[in-house]
Amino acid sequence: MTSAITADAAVEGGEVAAGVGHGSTDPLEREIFRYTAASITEELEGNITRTAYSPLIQESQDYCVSLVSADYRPFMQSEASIPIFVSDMGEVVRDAVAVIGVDTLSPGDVFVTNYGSGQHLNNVVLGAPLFHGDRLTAYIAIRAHWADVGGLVPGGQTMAARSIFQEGTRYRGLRLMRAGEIVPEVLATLQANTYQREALTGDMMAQLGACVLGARRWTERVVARWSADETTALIAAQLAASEAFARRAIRDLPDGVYSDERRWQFDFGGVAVDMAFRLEIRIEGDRMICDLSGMPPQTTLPINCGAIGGAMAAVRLAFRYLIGGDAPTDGGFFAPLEVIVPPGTIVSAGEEAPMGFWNMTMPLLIDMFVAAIGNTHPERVPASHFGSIGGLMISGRRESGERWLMVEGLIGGLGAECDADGYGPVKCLMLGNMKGIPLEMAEARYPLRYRSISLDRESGGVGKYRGGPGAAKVIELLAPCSVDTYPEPAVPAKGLAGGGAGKLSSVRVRRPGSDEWLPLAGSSAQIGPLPAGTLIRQISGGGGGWGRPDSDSGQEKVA
Amino acid sequence: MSIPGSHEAFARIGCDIGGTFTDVAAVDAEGRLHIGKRLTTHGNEHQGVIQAIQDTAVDLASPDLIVAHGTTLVINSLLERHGANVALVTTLGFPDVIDVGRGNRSDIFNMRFRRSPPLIADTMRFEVDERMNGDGSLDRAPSNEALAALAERLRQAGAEAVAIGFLNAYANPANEDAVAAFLRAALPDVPVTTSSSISRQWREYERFTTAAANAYIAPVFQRYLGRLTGGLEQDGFSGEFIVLDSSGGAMTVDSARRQPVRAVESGPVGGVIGARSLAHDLGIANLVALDIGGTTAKSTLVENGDYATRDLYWIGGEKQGFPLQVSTVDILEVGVGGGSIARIDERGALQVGPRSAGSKPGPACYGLGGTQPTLTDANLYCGRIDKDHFAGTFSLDIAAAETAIARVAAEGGMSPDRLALGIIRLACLQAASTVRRQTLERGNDPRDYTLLASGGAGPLHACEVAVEVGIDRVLIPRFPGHYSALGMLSANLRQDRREQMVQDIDTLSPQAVRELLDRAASDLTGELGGTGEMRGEALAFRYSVALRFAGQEHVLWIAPPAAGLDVPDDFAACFRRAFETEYLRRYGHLDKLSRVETAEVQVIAERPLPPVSVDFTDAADGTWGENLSLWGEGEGVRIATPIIPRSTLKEGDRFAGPAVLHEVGSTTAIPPGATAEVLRGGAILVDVRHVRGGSAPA
Repeated sequence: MTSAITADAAVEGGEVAAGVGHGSTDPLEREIFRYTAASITEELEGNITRTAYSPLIQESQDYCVSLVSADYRPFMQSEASIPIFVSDMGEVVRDAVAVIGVDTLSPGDVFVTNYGSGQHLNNVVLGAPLFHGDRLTAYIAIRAHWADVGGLVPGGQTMAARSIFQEGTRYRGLRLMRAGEIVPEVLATLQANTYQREALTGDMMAQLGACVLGARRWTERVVARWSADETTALIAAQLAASEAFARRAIRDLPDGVYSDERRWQFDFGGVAVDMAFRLEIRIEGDRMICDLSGMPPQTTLPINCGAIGGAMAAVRLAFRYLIGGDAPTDGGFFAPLEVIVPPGTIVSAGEEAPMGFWNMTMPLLIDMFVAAIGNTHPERVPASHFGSIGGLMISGRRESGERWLMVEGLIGGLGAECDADGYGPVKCLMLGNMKGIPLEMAEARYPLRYRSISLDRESGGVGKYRGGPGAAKVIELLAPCSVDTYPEPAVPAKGLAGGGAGKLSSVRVRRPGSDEWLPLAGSSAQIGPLPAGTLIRQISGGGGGWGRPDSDSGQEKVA
Repeated sequence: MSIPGSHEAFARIGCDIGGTFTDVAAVDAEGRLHIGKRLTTHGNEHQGVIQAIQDTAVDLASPDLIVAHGTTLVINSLLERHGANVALVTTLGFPDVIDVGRGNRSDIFNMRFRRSPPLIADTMRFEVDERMNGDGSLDRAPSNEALAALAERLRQAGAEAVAIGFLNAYANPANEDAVAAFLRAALPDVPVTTSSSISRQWREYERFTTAAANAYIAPVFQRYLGRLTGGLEQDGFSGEFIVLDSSGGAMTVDSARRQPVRAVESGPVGGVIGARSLAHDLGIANLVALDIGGTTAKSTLVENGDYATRDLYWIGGEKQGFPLQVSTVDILEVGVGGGSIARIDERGALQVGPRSAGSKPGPACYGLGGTQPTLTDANLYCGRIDKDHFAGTFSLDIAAAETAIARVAAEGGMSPDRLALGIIRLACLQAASTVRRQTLERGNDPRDYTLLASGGAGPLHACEVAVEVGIDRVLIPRFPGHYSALGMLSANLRQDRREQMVQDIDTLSPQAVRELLDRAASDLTGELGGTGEMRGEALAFRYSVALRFAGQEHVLWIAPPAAGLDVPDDFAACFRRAFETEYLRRYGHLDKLSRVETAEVQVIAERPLPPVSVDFTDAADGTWGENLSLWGEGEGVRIATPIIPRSTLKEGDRFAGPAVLHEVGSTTAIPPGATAEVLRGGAILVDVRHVRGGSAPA
């Protein structure tokens, strides 16, 4: 059975009046409302950053704040953090509220959910209904990466997991707060299901505090100014304007069928993987259909994701990259985009599939979406990027017994364009404004010493324009440490219009007394700690090149 | 002109050199204030300054004269990349720290993201075999042979300035200092900047980039200062020359020559200093200074007699630019000002700014060829600017403003009245967002603040911004259009120092804190005491400690109970209490389970200069007029509004809005419902609680 995910069930697919005069609202009132809503998400974002505990939330900003309409369409989000978090929040809220029952929600309620979005269980959403008097007019939803919710290992993520039940606990609409009062048994249960009680409590309270503050700001800034009907009309008008904007942008793309194919082969933890990916885009007037029927079946490795938080979120993000422009990234913007995905693929995995490293295929999906257009119209998009989350996780225990964990997200090269070299090194297109930890901070905090860090200027694919450069780092372990990493599919960033592929990313290990750099296979759950004196070399790939080198022939490819 | 024997009577000149105008505010020995304005004479800036000073009747040759100078030269040189051929000398193995950066894609929906390239190309980076460990202990020092070879390579590469950035130099600068000393001896004409001399904070990318920027502009800035002071001296100037520092004080010429990067916000900081001084004079504890000019609105917080500073400043913006790790007054900026253009965008939404019509062609009403409606046009249309009294300059073309507004209103399907009011409203919302970010979003109650308005367009919009944010009082200072130069008159010499101190507060001995403070204070005394020639009172020190719950990264800065460097014996208990109180106040929740740790210590040294006393009284002139103005009471509802020359108002005068005040350089709009009072010294305090939408119950 094939399911189609439309951006939002409430909007009819047809033409929407473009431009001005949506219902009773005018451009000015809409803009005032937009500023007002943005002032709320922006304030909450700052509040969370300043009070959270996990480095992932503070330095990496691994969270997202979203306002969602009463019919589950996101209409405003924070823009500083993880772009893939922003597009599926409506569905997460919809599921939790369906479980709870919308009629039982009261002002001052906050619910917890990490069920069924199709991301790893660490990604926990806290949601709160927002009211005009006793009428529910919107929700605030905040997603953050929790330290862990139990599972096989502290942190919850391990390549050893073969089922989602090994990755922690699932919550589905649990009421953490009722009418402004914390529900103690729920708080205690959440605290009981983690290895890292302090960090989880700190982060959760930051998230909860932000929900409560958000509800207060809604009352102060929105309820005080607009009635429930006006608010609903303003949200609808904004979504309609965004939809009209997106439809115009799609209409500017030539009708047709576009596609891209990739293949992943690798061995990991004793599992041999050989996957073929195919993605197809059909453009019909002002509609775009992205068909993921050609995705590989779900796998026993925890690199699956679900249809909503995985497939749909990645395709929506790729669509956002493709369209660009100064429009809000909201439910209306995604309305003209339809995603078709049959159940049981690696990006629409079943109930029990492990998803600890759910994001592994996300950069690939984004590259494939962009390349599908680029294969026919190479002047419209850049070549593929290094496309890897590539998290390198180093952990150990201090003399005090306290556990430490450092995550080094990979930074690599972006693809070249028809008129410019690619840039790099930066985080992949699934991640965004995540800052790497400074070497000096890492050396002061952890038993690590950096030997070198340099730009690999040759790593970008050759071409009329060169792909963006990756970087190389060498880290020495000063004490025994566990090291874990993502698998490495041997697929470099594809060039475009005759441009060459970028160099591959890799993590290699050199044990003391050895001259050999060896791949690191397995995970911390499976291999013992590496001894002091071990060197770890993390190399990030370059972006794909654009156009044939030493020629102007790239332009001939323009259809 | 100075009065012999009087310690109260000093002449002081504040001089703000901007891209277009050179503003001078001068107080003569009798305390009389004079304002001078000239076009900036690029390349020979002293000429513009001397002309502007001559306009003011203050004698440049007066021996006690202090000239405080603010300039946009540093920021402009960095933005436009007019700097020297700089070399980076760095730790072996780490040549590309300034390329790699933090790896974040700060424009998250842009797959074509790129940052502007580093100031120093890879061919000008030189590695040295040296290393400090993460705890500040020495791993190895560079050899003299290696340094001799390095000096030769730098010479051959034609390095005009050198930046030294070594890993972990924040914890121990010995290797940076040794290499700097060697290179200064070997290459005496080449300015050398060490990263640790500018910042003692970790984060190598930010610190190296800062050292690079400092070296990059050092030769340019040194030549500029030489021209300027030389030019003034030729004209008889023999007093003191100080340069405004981004952290909210001033530095000696010598410091400015070595650390030009500290002058990056040298221009706008004058207004902030003026705001602090006015808050002090009027006994206002908490104030937000809002400056709206032609293209940007800037807001800054002054709390309990001091401004907030931040330790990272972005050249070219956080999305594409590069960071400077220098203490900078926390000025938030948004791209909206009098010249901001209003248009209906491709989504059918009304936008105001960030594009500005600038001064050419300028707003439609300037009659210089502009056809797009701007914020200034909207104010003129609404009758909140009088066409014959626009900031004391030329008369404005109302018909041109009306035509421009009617055209865009038709595009948006609304009445011209609604559009004009809407343009003002959107501009105020944007300005309000910066004010809100500094008040409410930091957990501060806006009702505890007064909004100080400056800049040509600040006083026009301050009341509406205050109402939007929930602030009850607006303060309009004298000469709001020249506020930066005026503020420079009350600048003191000041220098900040930050040191890492990551430790559990319960295991930290008060003695260790004392030793750290003493060391920092002694360094700062060296910087500020310098020649010993500078007049002024004794150095005043204060410190604060950055605290957080163990595991957090973000900190709260907590000051000790008393000024000075005294560290209480119950340091841990005392600071923990203050931290928890502040944390709860700001974030609304408190974690009793976690340990509290210190992260950093900041020491501020200030050498107060003799205060100038300014007599603001001047001759009342001008006559009142009246306009029918649009105040948002509804479309087509125009209210009779007096048009008042500011100079006709005197201390104690009270009046109610609506009213429009005009003076040289600025216009003030006081909406219906507001009441205004002229304070001692001439500032006007406006109570906006009863303005529609204000905080008073209806």
